[in-house]
Amino acid sequence: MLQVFQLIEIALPLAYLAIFALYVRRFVARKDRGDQRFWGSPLLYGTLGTHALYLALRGVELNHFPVSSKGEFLSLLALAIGLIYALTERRHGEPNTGAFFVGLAAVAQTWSSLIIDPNTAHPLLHEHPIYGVHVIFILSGFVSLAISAIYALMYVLLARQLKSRELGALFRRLPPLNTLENMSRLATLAGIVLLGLGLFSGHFVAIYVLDDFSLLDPKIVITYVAWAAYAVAFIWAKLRKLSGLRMGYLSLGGYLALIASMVLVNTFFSSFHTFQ
Amino acid sequence: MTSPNRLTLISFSHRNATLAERDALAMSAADIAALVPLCRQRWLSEAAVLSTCNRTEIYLYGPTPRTLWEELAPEVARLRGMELAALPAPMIAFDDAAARHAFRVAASLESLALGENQILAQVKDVHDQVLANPAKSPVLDRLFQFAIRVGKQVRTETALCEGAVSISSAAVDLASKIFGDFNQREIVLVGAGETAEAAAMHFEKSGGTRFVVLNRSEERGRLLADQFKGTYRPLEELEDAIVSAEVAVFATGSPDYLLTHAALKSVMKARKRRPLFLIDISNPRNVDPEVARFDSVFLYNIDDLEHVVAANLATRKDEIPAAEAIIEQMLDQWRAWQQSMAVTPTIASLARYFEDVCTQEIDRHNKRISEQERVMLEEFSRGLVKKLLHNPISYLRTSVANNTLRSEDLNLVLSLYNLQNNDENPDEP
Repeated sequence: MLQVFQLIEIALPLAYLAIFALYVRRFVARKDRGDQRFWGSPLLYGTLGTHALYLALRGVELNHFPVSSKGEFLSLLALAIGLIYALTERRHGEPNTGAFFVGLAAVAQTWSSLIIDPNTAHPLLHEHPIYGVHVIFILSGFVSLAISAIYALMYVLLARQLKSRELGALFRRLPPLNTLENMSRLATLAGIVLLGLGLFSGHFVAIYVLDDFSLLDPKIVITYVAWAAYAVAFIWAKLRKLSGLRMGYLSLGGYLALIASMVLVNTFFSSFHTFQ
Repeated sequence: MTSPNRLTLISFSHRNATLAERDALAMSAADIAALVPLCRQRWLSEAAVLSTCNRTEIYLYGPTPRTLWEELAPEVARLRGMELAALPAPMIAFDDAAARHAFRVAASLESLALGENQILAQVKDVHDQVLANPAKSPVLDRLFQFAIRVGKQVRTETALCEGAVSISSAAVDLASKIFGDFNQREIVLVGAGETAEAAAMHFEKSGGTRFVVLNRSEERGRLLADQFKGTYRPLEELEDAIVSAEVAVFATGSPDYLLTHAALKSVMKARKRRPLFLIDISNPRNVDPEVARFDSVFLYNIDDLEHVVAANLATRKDEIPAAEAIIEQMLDQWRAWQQSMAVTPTIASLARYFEDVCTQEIDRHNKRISEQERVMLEEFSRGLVKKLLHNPISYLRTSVANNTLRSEDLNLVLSLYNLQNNDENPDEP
């Protein structure tokens, strides 16, 4: 089985890079070939399916959730980026932004394949099933919010081009503002749900597995505050039907604030919560 | 002495005729129906006519004389009710130059508005006209098939026909980049003149269904609203109308601003700062330029739209070399097809000649052989002829493919078997 894993570890970066090339070709094409079938999307879905199967089998074979080493974590990150992007692409039928996200997934998976090692020693906690679910949800939640922020950034850039009447490459290549806004909104919703599930499953793990768990752990407090802020802002915007450039700035600002707070907490507070 | 078959083009367009002359030369379906049989009768030529608001072109294939236009001009003048002297001098081209011109026309490189799409449909109409003619026109049929292929390929593989090149279509393109589609989007038309109507037509063509017309004159406003199945509101209700709209087109003759910064402030608050696209194609302007300061307001006036159009036209011009490359590729294929046409009848005559010889010989012995023996002899002779003809036919086809076919070769084949006398239409290599 380990030989099969090694083959997949070689094949996955190649597949992501090939799909990335297809998305780039579509993005930079002089002409929008809307009537022609785009093969990047089905290939991406197939690769994501294979990738998910590989990580699941790896977990079963090595008897731990595949988050015990940097290599495994990067591979899971690549899968999460690909899956969340695929969700937004399928929902809106708009593959023109794929180059950005598939490119990130290709980088993460290539890096993972270069450093991944099957003989990873791992703590007992990593064999706990709910712990794995917790990590997957949290990671996917952060990835979703990052994707949402990237869409918000695209929205802001395109809107500014339109307002300044300087219609450059972004005007020709990016999807309409309305689509970008909807994609950002969908990724935010996915992020809030996944992060929420991650937080609750994390509680479960902490209460039953850890002896020194405290709800006042700064990382937990900050993550809860950030999650609640996102959720409240999202519901408020939805109820008041807010949209436009200000929502783009708000989405971008929210994500930057989340990242800044996580960096601060990780820098200044040491707690139980690391990926070691 | 008979002239060789050749493709001839006689063209009147914006390049060599004034608008009045083009109008006078534009041929109706009845004119075309009269001219095509005449060409076939007088010059034994296949004929087709492309007649649009911007060009009248006559394509002929046959043994046409050098003085064709001198002979044809009186007929054209008569059909169009013009004085012979009033006819402008046409652009005349032959063979490859004529085919290249047909391809350029289909690609929209010869159009007044570079990259316009309508011409391809008009070329398709000419092809239909060729096919509908009871007298067969195999060469022109193939010429227009090639032209249509060029037109489609240029539109698929280059950006020659991309980007709006009129003020109204540029406005619709910009609105599409903001809202995606116009399904359930409200489009407010301020003014009910020709400009507003043209804008509404473009929005309707792009999927717009919900129109609100505001105009000082209720009668004209209602007329335009009815035309696009919209609603009419008095001009005084402009601010209310904009609250629920996504796009507002201003096209009135008002000398003052109809929408000011102060007025839009309350509108934007009421619409919760949803994006609003304001298109001001009035002269003087109807929308205060200050309103562009609102985050979610995208304001384009006629100058801005003209810049967009100019940029799109420049982009189209950049695509000309790519389109010309496609045309040259297709011209190579056209030449190859024409050359294959040169040997196909010869090969057919050769095969027919050998088959006739076989049939005659078998018939001569018919009384002395049984039915079974006859079938056997027929099979034998077919096999023998096939083998005997294999090398000469291969030689002819390879010569065409390699572009090395000489007229002497064809003449030799025809002379060896005396095929000139058997065949009514020997071909020109």
